[in-house]
Amino acid sequence: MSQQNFDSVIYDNKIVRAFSWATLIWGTIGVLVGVIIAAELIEPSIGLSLEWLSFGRLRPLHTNAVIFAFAGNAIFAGIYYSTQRLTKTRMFSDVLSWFHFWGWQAIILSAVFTLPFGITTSKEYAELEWPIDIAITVVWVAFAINFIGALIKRREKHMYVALWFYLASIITVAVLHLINSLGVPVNMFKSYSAYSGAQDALVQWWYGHNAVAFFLTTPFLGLMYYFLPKAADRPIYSYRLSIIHFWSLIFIYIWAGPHHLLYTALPEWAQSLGMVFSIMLWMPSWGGMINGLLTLRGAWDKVRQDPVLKFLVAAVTFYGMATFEGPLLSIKSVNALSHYTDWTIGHVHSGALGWNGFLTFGMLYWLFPKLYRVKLYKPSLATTHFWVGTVGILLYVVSMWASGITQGLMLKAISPEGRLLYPDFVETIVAIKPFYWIRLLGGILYLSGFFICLYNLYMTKKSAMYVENNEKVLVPPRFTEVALHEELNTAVQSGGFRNVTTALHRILESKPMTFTVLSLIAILIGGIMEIVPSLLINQYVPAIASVKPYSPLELHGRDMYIREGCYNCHSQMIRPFRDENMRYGKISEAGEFVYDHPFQWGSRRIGPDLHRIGGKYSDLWHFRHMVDPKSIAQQTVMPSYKFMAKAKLDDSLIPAKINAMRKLGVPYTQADVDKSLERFHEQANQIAQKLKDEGLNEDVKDKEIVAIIAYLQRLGVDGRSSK
Amino acid sequence: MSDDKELDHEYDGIRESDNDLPNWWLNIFYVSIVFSIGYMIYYHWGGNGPGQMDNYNKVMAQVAENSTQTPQSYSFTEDELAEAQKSETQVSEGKKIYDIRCIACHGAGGAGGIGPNLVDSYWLHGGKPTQIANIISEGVLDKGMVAWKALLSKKEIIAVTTYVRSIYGTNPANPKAPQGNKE
Repeated sequence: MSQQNFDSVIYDNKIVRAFSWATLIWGTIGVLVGVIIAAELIEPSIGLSLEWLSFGRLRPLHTNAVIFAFAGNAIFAGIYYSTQRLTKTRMFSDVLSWFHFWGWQAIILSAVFTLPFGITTSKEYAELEWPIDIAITVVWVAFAINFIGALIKRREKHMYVALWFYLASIITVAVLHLINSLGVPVNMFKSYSAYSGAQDALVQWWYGHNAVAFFLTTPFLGLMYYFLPKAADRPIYSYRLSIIHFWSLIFIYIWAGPHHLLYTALPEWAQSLGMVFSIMLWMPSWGGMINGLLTLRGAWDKVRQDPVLKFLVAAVTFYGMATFEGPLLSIKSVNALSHYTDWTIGHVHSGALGWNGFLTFGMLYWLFPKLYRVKLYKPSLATTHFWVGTVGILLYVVSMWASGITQGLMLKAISPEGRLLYPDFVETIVAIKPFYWIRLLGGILYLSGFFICLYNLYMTKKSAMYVENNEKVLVPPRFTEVALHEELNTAVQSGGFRNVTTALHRILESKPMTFTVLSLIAILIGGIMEIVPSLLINQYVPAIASVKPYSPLELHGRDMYIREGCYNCHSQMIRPFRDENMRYGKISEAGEFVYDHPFQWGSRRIGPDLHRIGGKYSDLWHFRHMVDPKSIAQQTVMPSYKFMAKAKLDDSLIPAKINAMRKLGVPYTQADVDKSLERFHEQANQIAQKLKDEGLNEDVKDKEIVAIIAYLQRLGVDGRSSK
Repeated sequence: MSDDKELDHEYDGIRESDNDLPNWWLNIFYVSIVFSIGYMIYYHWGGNGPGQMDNYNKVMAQVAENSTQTPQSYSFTEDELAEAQKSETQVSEGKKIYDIRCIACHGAGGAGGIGPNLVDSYWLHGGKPTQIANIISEGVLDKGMVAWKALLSKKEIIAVTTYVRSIYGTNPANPKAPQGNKE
């Protein structure tokens, strides 16, 4: 063939490099914060009693940094590299590419400058406040246009399976983000969730679970489908498997969210759907693992030599492990033990460190030599990184299994005389502390791997003679369109069900817009079936007459509870088990949470459940406990909140807060808004006086601590006597 | 597994084979679907499988029926408390428990803190040995005194009572002002 038959295309490598470096830098920071908070769980004074270094505020920074900054930038690096080559075209627009890059980094920075300062919505992995949510939406739309635009102007007729996964991820994340972030602003830095109680819990975990699905699973499957066969130079094992597992995965995944709420006050039919869809999800998830591992048939000798393949194979294996464990943990009787324990933490880390982390490292070690046109500085160092990281993950995961099962069993243990065997919650913390040390060691090893990687890739970059921003390649001319009816004709005539279905899907692969619409429908069905009933049916949450809205001071205290991230360690959901009833009091009912915008059910008990804490101890007990938790329970890992006894009680937003709640349907009257300040200070004075009566010799009526005491003393009180 | 028949697909050098889905994969997938439908039918769509509240109520009813499984309140006699008071080991056992469980609220040596002091002759809920033992056992829930019967055995509560009585009239550091009635 002569040169004239080819077009030339210029790939944008600069944007890929930018995202790659962002991945490495943010990843290191995200894991470093993880190591710090792991240490804080052993000794909280590491946080120096500074509010912005406490576990409750840093843990969201860790999760957001790892998910959206590390994994996010890694996805974008991989997508920008592979999409250009799979479509044989440059991205749709350079302006959008760079807007996407800088916009995303700005969002991450805004997380760094809000979360540690207590500016948070408290909805896990969606903690960022509303102005940042809007920024995320804008940047995501830019990314979507840039990506879909590239699909439309592609030169390759068919979209490869990696692109299906990218596409489904982009549209689903948009839907999840928009629906879960709805709320009413109080000011620039504070908003209340549009949903309350059980509804908020359902929407949040529909989001939370599918953030794992469509941010940490499907995009990475797309990356695997590109980088694994490239690195191994082997054909994908089964095209048919990729079709079946793609569609079944995205359709089923979206239903599984309620498995985060098993045995809670969420209506049981929704819980059951969450459980069975999680079980059905097992094989569709493993479809990706099989297609990855079997692609390596005949190439296993390469795995022994090549660190890139080592990382990729381990990543796929960890993926298989985590996606078996997920359905297992979703079985209600398993979840009865595992929920609120470290088993869940171990589970997500085998996914995040093993699957997302190792796939990213494999990808970067493969990409850097291509991006800088040199050899990897030291492949042996990459192998060292692999082993250090693997040992780190194993220490982390195994210690969390042991910790979770230990604590779960201790909390449930009842003596033959019918008493709790470990009535002090802190006893369970003392028992699992050794595992926290092992976890910390695992985390430090994994972080060391990051530094090895940074050094190796930096030296690779340094050895580059010439950095090519625009890679010019010759590609065949754009495909010629064939009329749809002709294509269908050919497909139908291909004979046999197997061939016809494959041929029809083949046609779909050449229609990006139809493909987009179909995948949107696939992911909307589950969401609609689960969420819409919760919004429409009044009976969804049976009302309890004795449950009343919070007083202005209690509401303010609740916002402090959210600000400090108390939900990261304390649940407010007493599940229907004998041991929980004995330990915490009357089990929780959905009707008790109808004014909770947002809900605070929590996901992990590092401290005891707080739903019935109201009235259990005196005000002075709470005062002493907040100021110096160790004076109450020597072995506690709760940080000191002594700043609350010094910080001035801020009443400037009180009427605005009551008003915002009114907009959300909480039955406050106009008089409640007008008198809110008066009532606020009246209750503050009462609590301060009571503290004095109980023996405190300072006046704290204008200090923050009275608000948190007011809130804690209100918790669970209204619903305690119902039925 | 079938032979690797390669398809004519090629994307940036990536090829695809036309292997069938593994049978075990398909079979487990089918079984999981059948199980799920059965589960939903049994528990929700017409079946009458027990819900989580049914299970909970059943357990709690069993517990209520079975008296050995239901924690009872302890009763204390003046005699047994008086007998225990004579034993030095009881008092020192009591101090050990006090220093773990009670010190946070009642202070070292009974000086008081969150709770009242335990060394003077003023009592909020009565200072007789049986009254002290009962307060330890049943708590004063309105005021934040824990019902220790959930955590301590009868023997342990008796020991703590003897310790509390042994510190009467002592002068610990930083005592809290008297509360309650003089007895």
